[in-house]
Amino acid sequence: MNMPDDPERLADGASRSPLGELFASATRDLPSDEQLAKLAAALGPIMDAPAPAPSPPKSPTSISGLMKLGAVAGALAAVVGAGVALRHTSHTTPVPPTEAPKVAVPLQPSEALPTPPPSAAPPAAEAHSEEVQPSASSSSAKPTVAPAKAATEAALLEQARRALNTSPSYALQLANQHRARFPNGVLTQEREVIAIEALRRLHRSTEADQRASGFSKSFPGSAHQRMVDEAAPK
Amino acid sequence: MTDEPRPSLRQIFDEHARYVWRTLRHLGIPEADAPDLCQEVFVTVHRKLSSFEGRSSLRTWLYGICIRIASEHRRRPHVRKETPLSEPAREAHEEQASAPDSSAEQRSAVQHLLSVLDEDKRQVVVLYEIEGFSMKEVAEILDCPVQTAYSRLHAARALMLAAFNAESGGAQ
Repeated sequence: MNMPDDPERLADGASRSPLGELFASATRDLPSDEQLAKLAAALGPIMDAPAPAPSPPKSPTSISGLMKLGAVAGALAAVVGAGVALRHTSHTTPVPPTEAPKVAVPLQPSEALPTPPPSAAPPAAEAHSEEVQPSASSSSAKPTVAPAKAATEAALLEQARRALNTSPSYALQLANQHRARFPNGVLTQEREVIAIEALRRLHRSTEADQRASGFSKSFPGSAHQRMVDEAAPK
Repeated sequence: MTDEPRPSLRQIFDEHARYVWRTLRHLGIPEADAPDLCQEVFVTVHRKLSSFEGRSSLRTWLYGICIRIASEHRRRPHVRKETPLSEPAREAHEEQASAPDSSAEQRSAVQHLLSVLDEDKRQVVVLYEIEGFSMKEVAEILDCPVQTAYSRLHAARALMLAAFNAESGGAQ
C-alpha cells in the first residue's frame, strides 16, 4: 500500500519506462506450484503443530541456527529430514503434501538427561545402544524410534550444543556419548555437526576434517552440509 | 498486544510463502538455496510465533525475519566465497529452452540491476518496488528511520538507472 508521501513505484510507470516494465515483471517472478508443494511437504510436521513456547535467549554459537531442540526438537528433526528429501527430489518428482515424517511429536524441553559418564571415553555402542531397531546404515535410518527416545536424543544433543561455547571438550564427549547410545538415531546429522564444531574449537583440525569428510560421504546433499563446511572449512 | 487469534503456520504459509520465496530470490539468494532458506524462514516463524506481540503487522514481522535470514545467509563464509551478488544470466533449465524467453530475460535483467546495489539499498528496493510495502513499513522492517529508507531508495534508483542505461548503451 502506498502512503500519500510515497513516490510512485517504478512498476506503476511501466507503460512509460523500460525500468518500470522490468520491475513489473519482477512481481510475477513467483515459485511454481510444484516448488511450493515440496516446501509445504518439507514443513509438514510443524505446519499444523501448535507454536512452541517462547524460546530462551539466543546462544551466540555459530551453529545456533542448527536446531532449537527444546519444544520443537522432534518436529525440527523431521523437518530437516524432509529438507534432505526435498533436496534430493528438487528436480524430479513432487513430494505429496500429505507425506509427513513419522517423528513429529513436540518434545518436552525439560526432558531429564542421563548423567554423563565420568570418563571421556564413550562406552561401546553395542553394549549401551538404546536403539529400538538398529538398521544397516545410520544415514538411511528411518525415524521410527519412540518419541521418548527421540526426546532423550534431543535433550542430550541440546546439552552438547549449549556446552560448545563453554566447554567444547564436554560437548564432544556428549556427542560421542550420543553416538554410542544412538548409533542410528534420528539426530545423527545434528550430532556430527556439533562434534565437528567441537573439534574445531579444540583446534583438532585433522580430526574435524576427517569427521567432516565422513559426514559428506554419509549424508550427501544434507541440509547441514553448509554448517559442516563452516565448522571445518576446506 | 492484539486480541486477535494468531494464525496458524499453515495459514501464514498459504498466504505468504510464494512472496517470501520471491523476496529471497530478489535479495540475491540463488534458486538452488531458495527452498532451504524459505524453509528456514517458516521454521523460525513457527518457533517465534508465540512471542509475536502484534506490535507490527504479521506481514512486516514475517518479512523482517525473511530479510534477516537472507542477510545472515549471505554473510556465511562459504556463501561469500561461492555466491556472487549477481547470478548467471539464466538458470540451467532456462538454458535448455530453444526459444528466447522474454520473461526469463526480464527476470535476469532485474537480478542484474539489483546486483549493483549494496545490501541496504537492495532491501529497500525489493520491499518497496516489488513487494509493495509503504515506505513507513519498509523503515519498520529494516529498523531504520523513514528518511533513511527514502534516501536509500533514491540512491538505488539512480544506480539502477545508470546500470540500465549502460547496459542499453552497450547493447546498441
